[in-house]
Amino acid sequence: MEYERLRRCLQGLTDLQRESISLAYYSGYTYREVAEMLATPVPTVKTRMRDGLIRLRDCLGVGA
Amino acid sequence: MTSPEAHTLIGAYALDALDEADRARLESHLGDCPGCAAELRELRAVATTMGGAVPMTPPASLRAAVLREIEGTAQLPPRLADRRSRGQRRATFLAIAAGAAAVVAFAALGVVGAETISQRHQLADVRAQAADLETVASEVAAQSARPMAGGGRIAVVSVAGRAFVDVRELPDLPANRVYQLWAASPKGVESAGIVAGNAGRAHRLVTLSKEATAVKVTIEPAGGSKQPTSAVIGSAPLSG
Ligand SMILES: [Zn+2]
Repeated sequence: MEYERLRRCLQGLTDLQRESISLAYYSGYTYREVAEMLATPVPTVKTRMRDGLIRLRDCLGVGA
Repeated sequence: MTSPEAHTLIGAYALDALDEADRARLESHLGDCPGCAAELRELRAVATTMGGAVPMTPPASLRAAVLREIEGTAQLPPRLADRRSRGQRRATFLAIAAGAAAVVAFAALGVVGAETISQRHQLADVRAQAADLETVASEVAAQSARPMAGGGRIAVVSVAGRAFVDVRELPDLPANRVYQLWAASPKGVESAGIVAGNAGRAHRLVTLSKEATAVKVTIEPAGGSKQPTSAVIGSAPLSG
């Protein structure tokens, strides 16, 4: 159930937010490596990780 | 580092995706910026939820995909499997699924790393699959997780010279300490990466030498050590 909810919330992110967060969190890459993999500027990836997590926080209702 | 720059690093920090230099700069900023510290606590809670929500059982569709990959990549003759008892088949499935899931995840991620932006849209499916298979590999690894001295668990799935290392439920360490992973062989140990002392959980893909026999864990000063400076608190043999 938690997993379904996370899945739904992840689907609510933009592709770049979801990819950046997944590659960092589930695959252990640094944000610079993620930027290279996604052929996206480093500052953009940094920002997408942060605003993606904020969107996940609101969707999951954690963190308070 | 100025405040606006530090703020943009918080997401990556919460995901444990900073290199050592960035991490040190952000951590020095956190001490005198209550706003960043508060945001970090919230985003860490999100990351923790992401780790805790890994499914106990991979969805049937994924298991089928892994089985197809086994047929294609592990080349287990179907008739060999048929001759075995049901219990043996299940044990074999788990062992091979662990390897196949890791192989597929590594392969897919390798493709992602090699691609250029012009092919990006074609990779969306590959990436989605890679993320799911990482989850499966992680779950299979968790089934063989071993407890570590002082708390936490370690599991390793190794395939073709690479290992998927999963450490979880790690107790928080003092700010100046980190967990360090080591690849051990009869020749000695080599660093296999650092896990932040407050990460709680981490995955690492590690390239191994042929002689490597186990992955071990010690607690080291921030930044890590060239060789272990404290007792081994956890060890997982390589499945070969
Ligand atoms: Zn700040």
